[in-house]
Amino acid sequence: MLEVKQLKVKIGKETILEDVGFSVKEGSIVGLIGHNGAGKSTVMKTIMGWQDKKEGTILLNQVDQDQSFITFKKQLAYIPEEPFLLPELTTMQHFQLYGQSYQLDEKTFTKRAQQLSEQFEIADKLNEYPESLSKGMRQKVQTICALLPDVPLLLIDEPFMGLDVHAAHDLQEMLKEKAEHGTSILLTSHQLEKMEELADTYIMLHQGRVAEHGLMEDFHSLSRRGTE
Amino acid sequence: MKATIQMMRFLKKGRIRKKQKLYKLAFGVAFDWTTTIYTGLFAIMFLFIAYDTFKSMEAVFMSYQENIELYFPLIVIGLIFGAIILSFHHPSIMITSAEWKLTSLPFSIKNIWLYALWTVIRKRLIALTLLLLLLVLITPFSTLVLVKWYVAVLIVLLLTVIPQWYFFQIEGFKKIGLYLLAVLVIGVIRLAFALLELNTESVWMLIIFLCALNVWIWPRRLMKVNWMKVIEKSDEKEWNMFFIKQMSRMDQVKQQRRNYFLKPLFTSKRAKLPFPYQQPAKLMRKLWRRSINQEISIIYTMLFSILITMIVLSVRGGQLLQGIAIILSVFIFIKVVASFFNAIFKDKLFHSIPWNIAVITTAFWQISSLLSIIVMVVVSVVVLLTNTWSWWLIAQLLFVFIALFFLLDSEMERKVKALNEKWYTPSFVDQIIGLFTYVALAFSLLYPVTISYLIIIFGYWIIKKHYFPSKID
Repeated sequence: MLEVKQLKVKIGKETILEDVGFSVKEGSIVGLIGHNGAGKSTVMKTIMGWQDKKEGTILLNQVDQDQSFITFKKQLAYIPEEPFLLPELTTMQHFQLYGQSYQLDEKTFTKRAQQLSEQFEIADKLNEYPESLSKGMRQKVQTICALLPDVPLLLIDEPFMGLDVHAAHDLQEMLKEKAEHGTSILLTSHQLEKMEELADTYIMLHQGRVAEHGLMEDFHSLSRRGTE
Repeated sequence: MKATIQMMRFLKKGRIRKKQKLYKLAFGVAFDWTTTIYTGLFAIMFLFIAYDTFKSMEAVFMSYQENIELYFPLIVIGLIFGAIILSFHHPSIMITSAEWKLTSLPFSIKNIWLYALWTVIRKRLIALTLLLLLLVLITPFSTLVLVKWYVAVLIVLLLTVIPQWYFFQIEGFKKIGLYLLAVLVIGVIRLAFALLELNTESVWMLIIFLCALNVWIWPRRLMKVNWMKVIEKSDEKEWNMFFIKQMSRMDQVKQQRRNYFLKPLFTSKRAKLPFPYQQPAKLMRKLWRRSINQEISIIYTMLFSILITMIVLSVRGGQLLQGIAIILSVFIFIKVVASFFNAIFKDKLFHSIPWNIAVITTAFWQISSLLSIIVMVVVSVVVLLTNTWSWWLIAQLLFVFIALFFLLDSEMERKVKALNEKWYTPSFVDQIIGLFTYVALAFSLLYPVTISYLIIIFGYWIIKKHYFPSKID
């Protein structure tokens, strides 16, 4: 599934990630844990191709990110920490953009869009532009967009940020269900108790390096930043 | 007030330090030390050369000096009018978001505004004084004349700061009315100068008028202020560092438009409806239109540059020069359009979804074809007006049109491949064919036979599309 090998990322002269390597198996949920600035978001951005890497390879089902980026991207969907919707498109038009990009057939798309918008309680906001939605609503739209397709890998940055209790609970259940159906999930979250409930394994980053990894049940705690 | 001054100076220092850091980073990218030293030496040499050249043109300068005196009132009127025009875009006194945040601490906006006013006055004073010194040093104009101009211009520049601030706050039709009234008043004043044969000294009347206007505005200066607009424009100006934007390619990252709250009022119900799902190109066209609308000023600049290139090189005579003008026009068009094509992929949302390249390029072709027709109309009109009409000329223009599409198609294909493959480099044959097409364009007007190169274009195009299609989707 996802293989990250010897990843090195530099921004200017500063090394952000150094020799980061891990893999995410089919149907597993992996939590990226670490303090602020540990490099979690940079890992996500590098997998998404926003951040150039200095060294290393990223493979998704044996497709190399550097050699076939378009095929690589067809296999993953991303839920960002902050929603980045287009001001010119309504909620439904966003769903359509995702559905068409992931080449979902119309019947499947319509069914899923309707089901997810009802589940996330935004069925009455389908013809609204992002600026007339609250931040939580925008986060829901962005989440639904990524949940529409069936992709081998879901990348999720702070999935519960901005969601109300019910939506967060529903999302958690949906992610578990997706994983049971074979979707691999790589997620970051500062809500460790949620992470413990959701993830099978964890990877702990510290100052841009993998400091620890293992089964989630073996994870003890995150020490205060700077105390190590 | 003392505490405000201290805090404002502290903010300014922080801002300068941050800008210095950014410029240092940007200059590190653009220049090395050798280039910087050479540029400095050239600048000094340029000043000496300018001084020598101006010195040898002393007689010309003197005649200019006499004539320019006649335009003195006109220039003063122009400066006043300029301030009114500028009030459409900028408040002159900068209150950025940093200064605004101070108002939530124990600092009054009145004092902050006063200090910001003083900053503008000081800046204008220093800039104009430096300009005066430069002109005194390198031009043969009489110092007395320069000082007279300096005093008048300085007074006008200082007295227009507050009116510009005040007019900036006025909105909508009121502002347009005010603008028309100003045009009328300035016209009347100009007529008065001409009819009543008022001399240059009468310009002081204008200055007295400005003084009176300032006195009238002063008690009203902080009434009905649109602070959000002031802050937005001030932030934009404070951090709009052209060089850094160019070096960091920040110019490609578009600022989010802030008039979102107006959009729901002006968007039709139809625009809110879902697109036909089976026709994804419709949605893509909307995204392209949005992307191009954001860069509309670049399109105007591109069309203007093409027009100027075509006219300037065509009127200098010679079909080879006109051929070169065509190459330049085609080259400018292709590079600008290709950069548009790249721009949409930088959008965060767009970057995060899989790209259906066939749909994306089809929708883009529909928009860029329209642009290419506009460019070809410009090129054709200039070529037809500067050459004797013949069927050959039409065939040559047709060749230019086809070559333009061929080059654009090749460029877009390269862009798509580069998006997909990190280490992609175009093939040697592809590069050579592209280069030859440009050369053929240069000679197409001088030697009509060059258009037989179309056979190679079509041949290569057909072979490439048929036997080596890009298998990205």
